[in-house]
Amino acid sequence: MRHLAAILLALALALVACGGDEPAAPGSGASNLQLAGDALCQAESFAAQGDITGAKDMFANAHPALHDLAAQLEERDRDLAAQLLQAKQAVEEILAAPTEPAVVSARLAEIRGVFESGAALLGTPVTGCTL
Amino acid sequence: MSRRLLGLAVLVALLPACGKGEGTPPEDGARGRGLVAQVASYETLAGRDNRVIVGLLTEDNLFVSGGAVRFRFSFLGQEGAAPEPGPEAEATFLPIAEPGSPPPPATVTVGPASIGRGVYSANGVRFDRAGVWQVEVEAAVGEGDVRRATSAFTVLEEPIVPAPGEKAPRTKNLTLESADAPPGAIDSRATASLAEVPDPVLHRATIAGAIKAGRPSLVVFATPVYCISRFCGPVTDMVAGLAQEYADRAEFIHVEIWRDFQGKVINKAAAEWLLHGEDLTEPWVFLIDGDGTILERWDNVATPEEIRPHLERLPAGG
Repeated sequence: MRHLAAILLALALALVACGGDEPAAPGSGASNLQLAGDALCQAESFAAQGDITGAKDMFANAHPALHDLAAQLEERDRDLAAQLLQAKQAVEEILAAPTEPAVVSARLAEIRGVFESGAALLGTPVTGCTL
Repeated sequence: MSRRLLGLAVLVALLPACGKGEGTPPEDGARGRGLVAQVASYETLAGRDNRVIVGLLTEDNLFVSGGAVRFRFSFLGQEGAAPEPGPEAEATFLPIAEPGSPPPPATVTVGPASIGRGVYSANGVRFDRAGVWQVEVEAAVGEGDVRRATSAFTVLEEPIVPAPGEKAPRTKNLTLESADAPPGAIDSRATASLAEVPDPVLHRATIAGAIKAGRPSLVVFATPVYCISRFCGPVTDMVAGLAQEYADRAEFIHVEIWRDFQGKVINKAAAEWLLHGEDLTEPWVFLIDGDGTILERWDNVATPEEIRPHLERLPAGG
């Protein structure tokens, strides 16, 4: 049920995020980053509750934006791009062989921190976890 | 490719690649329902069979996955000229499967990445000339809901990256025996969170060594950590899985792209195959026979289902 809830939430977030006058272009724009930031928050929340499947789904939904952000950061701050991609790899490894939910949640918190730093550097800050 | 053609290609590529239903702006209530197509193939060639892969998203960033769609190609030619119809093909969905991810939907479905992420692929597409081409993708998303999108791309006269039929460069890539190489230069995962180079089965042989031994090889050029394409997937893991299945048929080799990502230093082996000017595309997977001839290659997205039949044709014990 949580799996379904995660998907429905992602769909709802996607629709809300594109409610402006102009449709958002995929792979760009503040709304995409905010959407991904929200997905990371949800992943962290699911992991903290011990719902690793829900965490995986929400992390998967954030995945494309992580690559997009890293691509944009490459020329601006290569160290930060590397940090983001290394944090992504660390999350993927721990989600593939999950350990304690608190550890998974901590890894997700780490990547969210790097993600928010990167988004801010590009002038498109995302709000923290409010969901 | 001539400078003029290159300029036209750049111009076309910069044009909006999205389509909105029947090519008209979305009406109220339909906002975000249009499709955006992105050609994910790195290199398409004139006069040869091509595998063309295209990613599909909605304007509101949801992924289109599952089922099959229609590709219609047209030659754009010179600026201002009317497009000339070209080949058509059915394209099936190739999932970018993370471990434990569900199978893709059976029919064309719109949803978040957790439902399905991947590209649509058509094989055997032949373009009769080099130049700027366009693909129109037609997808039936539910009953009576046919959506279309277009994307332009360049067809080359000759390959830039080593292609089937050519001799493979006798490259001495880094291995676990390369004492002067930092672990992260052998596999970027060793710099991220792993203390040791993972998948040793992929890091024990060189391309040059396999050819010298007369042994076929499946070689993946990829950076598992530092990939920045939205179509990135666990292609190195996938090849490691094939190495377990087909150890008796070929050598399996991973070539890491970066010697030092932060310092922008590319591994020499990756550069020999993939670097042209300042451009490098990855990932690529190459199948090389025991004589050193490239048999097949897959760019950007590769699946075990595509590669297995080629490995099956290699002699066991080879």
